[in-house]
Amino acid sequence: MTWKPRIVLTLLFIAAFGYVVIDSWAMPFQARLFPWTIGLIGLSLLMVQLYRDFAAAPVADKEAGPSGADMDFTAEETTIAARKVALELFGWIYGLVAGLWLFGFHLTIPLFVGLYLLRSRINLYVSASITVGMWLVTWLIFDRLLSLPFPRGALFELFQ
Amino acid sequence: MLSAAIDGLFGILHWKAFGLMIVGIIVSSTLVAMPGIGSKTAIALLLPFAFVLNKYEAIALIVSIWAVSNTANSITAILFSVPGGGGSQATIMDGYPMARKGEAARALAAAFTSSAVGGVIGALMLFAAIPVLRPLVLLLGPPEFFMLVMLGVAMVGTLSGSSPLKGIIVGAFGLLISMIGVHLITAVPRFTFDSIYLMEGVPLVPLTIGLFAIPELIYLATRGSTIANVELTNLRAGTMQGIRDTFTHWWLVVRSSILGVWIGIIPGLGSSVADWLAYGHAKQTCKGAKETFGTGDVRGVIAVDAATNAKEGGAMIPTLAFGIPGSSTLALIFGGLIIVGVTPGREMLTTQLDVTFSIIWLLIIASILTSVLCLLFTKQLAMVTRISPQILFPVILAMAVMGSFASSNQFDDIFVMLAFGTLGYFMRAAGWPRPPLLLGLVLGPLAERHMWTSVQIHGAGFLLRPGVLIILAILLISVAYPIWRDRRAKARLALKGA
Repeated sequence: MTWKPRIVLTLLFIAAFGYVVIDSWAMPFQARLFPWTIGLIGLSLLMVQLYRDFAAAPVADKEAGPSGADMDFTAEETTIAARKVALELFGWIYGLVAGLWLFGFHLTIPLFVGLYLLRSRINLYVSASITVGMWLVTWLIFDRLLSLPFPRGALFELFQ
Repeated sequence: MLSAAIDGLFGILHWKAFGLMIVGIIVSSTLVAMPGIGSKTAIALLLPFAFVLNKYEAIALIVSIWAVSNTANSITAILFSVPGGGGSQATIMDGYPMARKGEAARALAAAFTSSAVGGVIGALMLFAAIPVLRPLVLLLGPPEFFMLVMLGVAMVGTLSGSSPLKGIIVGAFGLLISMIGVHLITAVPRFTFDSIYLMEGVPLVPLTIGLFAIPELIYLATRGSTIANVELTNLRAGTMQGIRDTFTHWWLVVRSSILGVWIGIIPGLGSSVADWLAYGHAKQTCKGAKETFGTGDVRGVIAVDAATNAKEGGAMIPTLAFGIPGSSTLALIFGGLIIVGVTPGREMLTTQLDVTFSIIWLLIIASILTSVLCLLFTKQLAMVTRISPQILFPVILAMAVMGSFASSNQFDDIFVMLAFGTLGYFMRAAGWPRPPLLLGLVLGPLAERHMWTSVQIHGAGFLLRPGVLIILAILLISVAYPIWRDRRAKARLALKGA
């Protein structure tokens, strides 16, 4: 039996399907019929997948051929360097969301774009133009045209 | 039917709808020209705008993005040997050698023109299918519709990744997510964790943006450099020859388009199947192709681009008639139609026939307009690929975040985007296909409604109805066949190894 990180995802799906089956136990028949049907079918299939994940000689997935409609991980993405970059990018994404929550959209969006461009060593003038452009898009299209009620940000709410 | 066709045409010819179609074409052509960003991301980013548009305007915007997504992705395939999407992989086979021989303009013109003709043929076949489908759809009851939904999810699950089993599980997971929220019949909150936000279910737009746009943006930024570091050669000389080539080989264009429509009808088979089948068909049937294909034969480009664009008309047939989108992109369009109050399925062939016709007109007009625009602005579109991913990443991410927020104007939308963005990345990393999840999410409510109605009318016996049994048999064959085929291939390999 060999442990592989990809098993985590299988276990996560098992937890989700198991939760649905158990949680719908107390529901009226009408409400639990579909969750039970899909939940039990899904759990059975996941048991087979778990066996495949754990099997000492794993049953390899077939090569992604012409039928593969989803974008598979490329070779360059599996390198340690690429994973470090991906981790950093996730840091930027989570940072952006934290910034939006703390400072609101009008401040965070241009700040995020500007900082990222500077971090990527993009020409200062280009960075400044894109940052201003993004602020204009935020204000003109999303605020004025679509009338989105952007929250002011938790920090500003605190000092209101 | 004639009045519905006229209503549909006037609906999209209104200046605002027409303008939005042009916007859709430009956005789609620009974004899909960049490998890594597909039509799904483009649609997901523009879907929030559907909330403030009327049905024709929203359809013009959303459908035009999808309808033309196979045209512009030939640019990178022909010029740089980098497929812009699944449907342009086979274009490289002869398109790139033509470009190396100095016939880039001819190859591009042939690709764009055959794409336009293929798109028109696909739309006409969709039009021809309506009178045939109307009585057929009215014959089917809730049990058959329930099984058709299951068939759609299972087929897309089986065919959209490298592992059929994982695909089906992900499809079931999508159905599971669709159950979150207040149950419409009993008003019981299901799997909401006492969250008020989840009472209405998991919204489609932030989920899609997270699941597809975030992992693709990470891919784009991880790659780090632009793809198009090569000099752009003269992209004008040979254009007229390329256009003429399409009409000289008109019979090949028609055959490939019909093949594309046929592939489009089958749920789960995407552009990446249509292009290789069309290429293979052309290689087998064209005179002298076995010697010239792969070395820069324009017929190899024409066949592929006609088939991939014609496929979209075919894919619309099960989506509009049975409410079963054959791909995740169509599931998104399905979601977009629901946003503007149009439910794909029986209604599209009865009370909402004008909407169906507006989609057909869009397929025709958008295909022709895109080809003209691509012919005129090939160099500019090719230059788009030179924009650094380091610039695209923050700009598209910011748009994605705002687009997610626009879904229901709540900050929780962004958390949904974040959660599914993380899940999507790890699903890609572990080889779990993402498209079936979207299909399950969109089709879940429909499946549950049909299942409950079937149980109420027929009891458990609904599973024994002849129509249900036939669809069940097709479902089992379509799931079992790829597994059996793989096992047989592995057994043969093992025998050879021994």
